[in-house]
Amino acid sequence: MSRKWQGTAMFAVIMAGVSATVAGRMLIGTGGNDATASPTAPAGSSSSSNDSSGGSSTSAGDTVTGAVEQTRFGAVQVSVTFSGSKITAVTTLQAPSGSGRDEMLTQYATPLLEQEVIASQSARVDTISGATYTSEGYLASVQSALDAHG
Amino acid sequence: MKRGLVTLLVGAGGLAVVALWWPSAVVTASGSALTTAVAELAGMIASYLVCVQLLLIARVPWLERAIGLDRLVAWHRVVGTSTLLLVLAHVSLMTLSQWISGGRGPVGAYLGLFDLYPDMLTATIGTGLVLLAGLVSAQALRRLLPYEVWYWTHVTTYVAIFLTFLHQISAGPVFAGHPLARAVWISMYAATAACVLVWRVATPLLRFAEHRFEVAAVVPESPRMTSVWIRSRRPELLDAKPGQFMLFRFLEWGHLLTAHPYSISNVPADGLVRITVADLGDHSGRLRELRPGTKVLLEGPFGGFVGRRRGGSVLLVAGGAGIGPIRGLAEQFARMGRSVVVLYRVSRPEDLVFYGEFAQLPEVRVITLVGRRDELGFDPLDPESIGYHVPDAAQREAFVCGPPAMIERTAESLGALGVRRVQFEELSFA
Repeated sequence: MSRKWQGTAMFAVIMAGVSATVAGRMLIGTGGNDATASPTAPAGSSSSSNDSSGGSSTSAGDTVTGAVEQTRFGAVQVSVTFSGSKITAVTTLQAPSGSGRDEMLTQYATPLLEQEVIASQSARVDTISGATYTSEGYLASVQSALDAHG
Repeated sequence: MKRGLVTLLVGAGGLAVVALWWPSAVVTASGSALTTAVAELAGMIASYLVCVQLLLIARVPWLERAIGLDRLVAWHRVVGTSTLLLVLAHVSLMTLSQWISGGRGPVGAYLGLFDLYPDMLTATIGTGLVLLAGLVSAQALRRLLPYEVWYWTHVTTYVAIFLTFLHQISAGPVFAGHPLARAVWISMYAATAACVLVWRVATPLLRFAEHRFEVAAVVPESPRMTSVWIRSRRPELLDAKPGQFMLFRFLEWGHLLTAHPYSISNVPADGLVRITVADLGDHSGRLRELRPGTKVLLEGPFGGFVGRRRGGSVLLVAGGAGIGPIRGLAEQFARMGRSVVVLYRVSRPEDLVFYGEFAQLPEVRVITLVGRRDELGFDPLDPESIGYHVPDAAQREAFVCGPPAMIERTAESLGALGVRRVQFEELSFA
C-alpha cells in the first residue's frame, strides 16, 4: 500500500522545503548586506554595531574600528591599527565568550589570526581550525576596517 | 473539514518555525555553513514535529472528536517516520558539516560536535532512545516483539525528548542568546507537556476516582477467548458504545505496567462494560487469571467504528477475535430495528463464541464460516461465498473487524460485490 511510504514522502517534501529555504536565506542574506548584520557582508560602510566605542568604522588616527560581525557564537569586532597603509596591529574589541569553551577558543584563535593578518597584510587568510565561525567573523571585521581605511 | 483544518494548523506551525529560524540564520556560501544551516533547520522542524507527534496521541478531546484516535494513531505513524528521518538527517548533516570543515572522518567529526556544542551527551542518549522507539514501531519488527517492549520504549521516549530538548535550547543558534525565540520554544514544549499530563495522566485518574472501575467477572468463552466484565459505580456517567475501544490498565502485578487497547463487546448498560479478548500468548492470555475486584484504569472510549447512519440494513463481518466488537454492534443495530446479518469467520470450530448470546437475539442472522482455507478448498470470504450467503450484500452498510489480512481480503470481496459503505476495524491496532 502507498500508506507505507507516506512518512518517507513527507520527509522528502520537508527536506526539499528546508533546502529551498536555506538557499533563499543565502540569496537574500547576501543581497541585502547593507541593511543587516550578516557576517557574509563585509559591512564596512554601515555596520550595525552597538558597542560603546562609537559605532561605525571611522578613522581615529591610525586605528580603524571594524564592523560588528554576528557569528553563531556571538559578536566579533576588531580594530586595526595602521602605520601608513601597513597593518601593524589588530585589537579584538569583542569576541564570543558565552561559555568557557568560547573563551578558550577566542584566546587561542585571536592571536593567531592577528599574526596571520599582519603577516599577509590582508584579511584573506585561512581560518583557524576548530574556531571557524569566530575566524570568519574576525576576518570579516578586519576586512571592513581595511575597506573603511581605503 | 476538520481534518483539513488540523493539517493546515500543523503546516502553519511549520512555517512559524521557519520564521523563527530566519532572522538569526547564518548562511554563507561555503559547503560547511550550508550543510549546517540545512541540518539546523531540519533539526528544528523535527523538534516541532516531535511536539505534533505527542499532541496527536495526547487524547486531546477536540482532536478525538474531530479525527478519532485510530486515524490519529495512523497520522502519528506517518509523522513519526518523517520525524525519525529528519532527526537522522540533522545528525548526519551536522556531522558532515564538521567533517568538511575539520576533516577527521565521520566519527571524529561527530565527536568534534561535542566540543563545539553544549549538552551533546544528553542529546546523543536521547536521540538513541528516540531511534529505538522508531525502530520497534517499524511494521516488520513490531510484530515480532511483545507489546510490553513496544510500550516501554515509547514511554521512555518522553525522557528522551527531554534529553534532546536541552541541546536545542543551549546549542541551537536560534535560541542561544535569543531570549524571545527561546521563550517561544520552551512554551511550545511546556504546552505539549501540559496536554499530555492533563489528558493522558490526570483525566484517567479523575475518571477512576469517579467510576472506581473494577473487574466484576472473568468468563472463559472458548479455549482461546476470555471475557472480562468491568463495573463502574457511576453508570450514568459511562458513555461507552459498542464498536468503540478503551485503554485498560489492570492494577495488578503483571498488568500494572502497560495499558492495552481492547474493544467493547457488549452494549454497555447498568455500568457494565465487557471486553472479549483472544489469548495471543502474551498479556491477553493472562487476563484469564484476573480476579474479580481488581481495580482498572480506563482511558477512552475511542474510535468511530459505530456507524453514522440511523437506519438501513447492515452486514457485520467478524474474523476470529473480531467477533468482540461485532457482537456489541449486532445487538445495538438490532435494537435500532435494522436488519442485521453477521458473517462469523473462524478457522476451528472450538474458536466459536457467543452462540448462546446470539440465540437470544433472534432478529440477528448469524452465518458461521468455519474451517481452514486449505481444508475447505476455497476462501469463505471470497465474493462468491459472501454473495451466496448474503445475496443483498450490496444494499447493506458493512462493518468488518478482524486481523489485517482478513480485513484486506474482505474489503476486496465487498468491493467486488458492490458494497459501497464499508467501515473497518483492525485488531492489531496500536
